[in-house]
Amino acid sequence: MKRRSLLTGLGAAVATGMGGGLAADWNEWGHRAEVFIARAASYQANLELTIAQGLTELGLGQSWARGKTVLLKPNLVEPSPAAPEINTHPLVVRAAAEVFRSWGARQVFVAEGPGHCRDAQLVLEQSGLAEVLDESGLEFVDLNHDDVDFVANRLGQTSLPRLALPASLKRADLIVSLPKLKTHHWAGVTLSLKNLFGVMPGIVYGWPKNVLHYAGIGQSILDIAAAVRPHLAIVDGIVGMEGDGPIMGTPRRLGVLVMGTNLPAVDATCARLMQIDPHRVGYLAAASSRLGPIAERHITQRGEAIAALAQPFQLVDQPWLTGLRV
Amino acid sequence: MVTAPENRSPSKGAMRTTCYITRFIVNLGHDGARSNSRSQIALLFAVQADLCFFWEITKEVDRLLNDWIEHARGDLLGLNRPESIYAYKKGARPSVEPSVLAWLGLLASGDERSAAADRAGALKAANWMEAIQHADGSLPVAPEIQNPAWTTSHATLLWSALSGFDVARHRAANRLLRTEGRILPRNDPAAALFGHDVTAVGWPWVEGTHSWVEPTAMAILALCREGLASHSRVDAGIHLLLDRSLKRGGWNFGNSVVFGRELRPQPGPSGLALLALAARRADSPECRRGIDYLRATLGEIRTCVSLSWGVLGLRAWDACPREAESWLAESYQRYGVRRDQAVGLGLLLLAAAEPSLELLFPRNETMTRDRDRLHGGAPAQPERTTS
Repeated sequence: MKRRSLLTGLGAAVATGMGGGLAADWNEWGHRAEVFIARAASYQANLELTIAQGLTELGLGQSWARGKTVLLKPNLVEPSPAAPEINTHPLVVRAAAEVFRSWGARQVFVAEGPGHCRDAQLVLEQSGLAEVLDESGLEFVDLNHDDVDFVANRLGQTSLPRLALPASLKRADLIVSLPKLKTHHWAGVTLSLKNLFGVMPGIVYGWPKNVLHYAGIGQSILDIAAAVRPHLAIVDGIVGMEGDGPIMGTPRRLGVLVMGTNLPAVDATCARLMQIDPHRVGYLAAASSRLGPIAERHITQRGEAIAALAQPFQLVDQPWLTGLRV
Repeated sequence: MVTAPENRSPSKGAMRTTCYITRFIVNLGHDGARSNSRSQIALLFAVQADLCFFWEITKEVDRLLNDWIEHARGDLLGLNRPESIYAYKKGARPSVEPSVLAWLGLLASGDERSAAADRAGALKAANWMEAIQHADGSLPVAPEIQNPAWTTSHATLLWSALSGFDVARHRAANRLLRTEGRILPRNDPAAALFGHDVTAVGWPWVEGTHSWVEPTAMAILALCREGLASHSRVDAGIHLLLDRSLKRGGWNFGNSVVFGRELRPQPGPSGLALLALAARRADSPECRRGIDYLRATLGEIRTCVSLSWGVLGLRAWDACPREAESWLAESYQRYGVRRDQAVGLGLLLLAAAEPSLELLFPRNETMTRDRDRLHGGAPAQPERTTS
């Protein structure tokens, strides 16, 4: 009896898996993307060259950026000089800015609405980004306190009828998500899509954008991504964070920069680099049918191979995170 | 309310007093020395010359410190629009928070010459806020952003600093009393993940969400200012602030412990929490730990918002180090250059000006703070109350 139950269960699981796989394939019909994985041993490496080469491999170049205004959106959560792994490293921001400048961008500026801290200047100072901005002559826009425009919630994954977006988004021809590669104690992983939470103005959504938590983190991520429609992601995975991310985790060196124009595909690749199955991360699975592919065979991996670099990032031991492993 | 610039700083006053006393003693010694040796006389002359030099230096420091305040006032006044209202940055749409903090800073830092103009400008801004107040008494963040209304507390403080806004103030205070952060039932599985009392009721940034340290502290300040310091909602808010304090000292933005890990303290929320607790004179071990954290941390902070709230929090407990004045001046020198920051400039002025606590604390009440009890004396019983 037990054996029969076990077999029945296994059969059901396989059928479900196959069904899920077929469903994923069907959902991703027409979605294809390329993602580039670049090895970068440290922040002292020539990151500008690494990013330029990676983007060139993806078919991007001067003609893509020339004359454009580029908004770089790093991940800055809260100030902590003792834990630099919380925030996107300033040298990654600078390298990305220099690439677009060298490609003839009309203007490059950095914009973020820190998730927890109202004093954006403090986050800039303590993350080391303020110094880089000054040295590089880069403008910073605090999206938490920007003017706001309301737009209809096109995707409608949450019950929020409309979304408040910072007016500075309209200045940008190209929006680049520059997240830190981290595990996340609620969402599983936080990468280029989750990084878009920082776009949402704190004066409307509070700190830490608590309205979006109540509306559903995963659903909010999808609604925001559909409204903001970013053009590119460059993930700082040189030193990422594992465990109790996004702020209390521990640093983990992975030594990569991951980039691509389709954010779900980039995030799915990053998840695999952390040995996490993107199909089991709720919001990535939901994104696959709407915003881009996450199935490995629908993503053309360029640069380094995932298998050569993947590491098992630790997750907080909580029921909703069990089963995320590849 | 108006203080002459020369008397604005307690630390400068103390320096000057020390200088006078020392000169007096030296002169006494000088008189007595006539009957003593020539070398003693020469030594005393030298000391007096040094002290005179020191006095000149002190005057120069005074001038520089007052200069930054005058410059900051000028910058801030240059930012306002014809209606005397402010935006978060130059050229942006007007908003309640920058208008309130800018005018509180200007009112606190003005002198007899500027008082009439400051008051007229603040009145215009207060009138504008009254015009956009919702029927339910709440104040939207800005006319274009009808929700949320966490700025209700801010507007109440500005109205309270002026006269003639009794109706608007009372409606706002009543709205604040009806605004509650969302709680988690104690038996909710998620409750076990947090180290704080998830049933404590404070104030949220946005209605329908959890209570956080900063909006709770602002609401307590506003309600205490309105004479509601004994209200049960203020009791509950005080309980929440004490409950959310960190064991290591200070406050994070809202949570204290999540997934078993204590979060990191932050200067801005810590200063605001201490300010609110001082408005109710809610002395406690949590306050002392917060003061210790800020005293150890603020010397490294120069950004306007965090430094200013931190200094105000320490000032509220008579625990602000003398160096704070030069920290504020440095902050202005470093960040005041970006002269489009109404919130930062307003807060710097508020933190630097002696009468600012009169604008933030309950009216007609002299704050009696026992410095000895706070620093090294027998610990006071914490005033912890629950909802």
